[in-house]
Amino acid sequence: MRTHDAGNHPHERARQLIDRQLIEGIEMEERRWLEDHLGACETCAARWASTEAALTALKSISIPVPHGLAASTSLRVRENAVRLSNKRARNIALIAGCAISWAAGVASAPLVWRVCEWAGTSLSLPRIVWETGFFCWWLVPAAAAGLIIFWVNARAEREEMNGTLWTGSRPNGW
Amino acid sequence: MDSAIHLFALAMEPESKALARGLRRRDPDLLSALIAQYEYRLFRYLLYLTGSEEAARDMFQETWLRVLARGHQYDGVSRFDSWLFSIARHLVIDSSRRRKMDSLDELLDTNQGGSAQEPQSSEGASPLAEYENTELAARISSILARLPSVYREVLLLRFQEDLSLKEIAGIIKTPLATVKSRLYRGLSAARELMEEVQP
Repeated sequence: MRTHDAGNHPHERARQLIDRQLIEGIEMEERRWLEDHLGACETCAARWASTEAALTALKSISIPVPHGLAASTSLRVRENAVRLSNKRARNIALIAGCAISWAAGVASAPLVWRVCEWAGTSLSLPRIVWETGFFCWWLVPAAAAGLIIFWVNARAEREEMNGTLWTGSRPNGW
Repeated sequence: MDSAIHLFALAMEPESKALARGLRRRDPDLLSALIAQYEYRLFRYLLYLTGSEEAARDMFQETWLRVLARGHQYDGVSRFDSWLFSIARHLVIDSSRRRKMDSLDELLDTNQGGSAQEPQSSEGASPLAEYENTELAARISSILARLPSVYREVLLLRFQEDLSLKEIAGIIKTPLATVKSRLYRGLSAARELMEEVQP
């Protein structure tokens, strides 16, 4: 249902086209019609001019950028790039160490099993004891290595955090 | 017109691809250049989003740290500034959620019936007001501050950052139709406010 009379219709169309032109663009035919209408209608032309002026002013609004923002950010980014690079190197070393350890464990398992079995039999130990010994041989070094790696990583990250120069304000409660 | 856009896109392609490669390598020189290049635009966007110079400064740094960490996610096809603004916006929303708020609207529309605060400098005076170069710019600033954040954001992205509707939809993760609807309503609301404050 139309809410405006025929006399207002061209103005309403012009208003819609002005907005559409600014937001998503209009067809050449519509543009020609709008130009003709703006040439003939002072009210719509004023509306177009004021909207254009407002949008130009919007672009001209100047924001003060804090002094040294780019430099301090760049410094933080560089420090973090080094930290990430170190972390990556540590992760590669960790993965390589785990892979070697796993391969060595698998390869030596039959031999170690026989050694444990021989030791258990020679010492007349219950089967559960030397089997536990075998599993410990598998688990304890891996657990110890894991703990050492965890400790080394934690220490490295702590040192990096302490060594990182904080160049911006701390996150606040905004 | 379409062919011109296509040619422009082709000409731009190697640059954005090189950018993507540099970001994957975490090239610090490239990042420093990007920080300098986008300093003003990103800070301005964050200032409007957060309404606080201090918060905008923090978010600015966090955004670039995120770019460093997630640089491999930039595809080199889309515009870098859209991707950058998208990251910045997510960080602001995450930060607002950490403050027990559900959305950007709640972060910005904290008082007075949905009106956002005008960006404030650390000294308490509006950084916009300090640097307004024309009377009209002053009025626009005040109108922007009074607009609901959902309208203000799309208006700024469209008319200040000159982003396309599709790019805006990508940044704010909203359907294109919603972006258009917000732009029309935002423009209309801004016009009404302008008429109210007409000298």
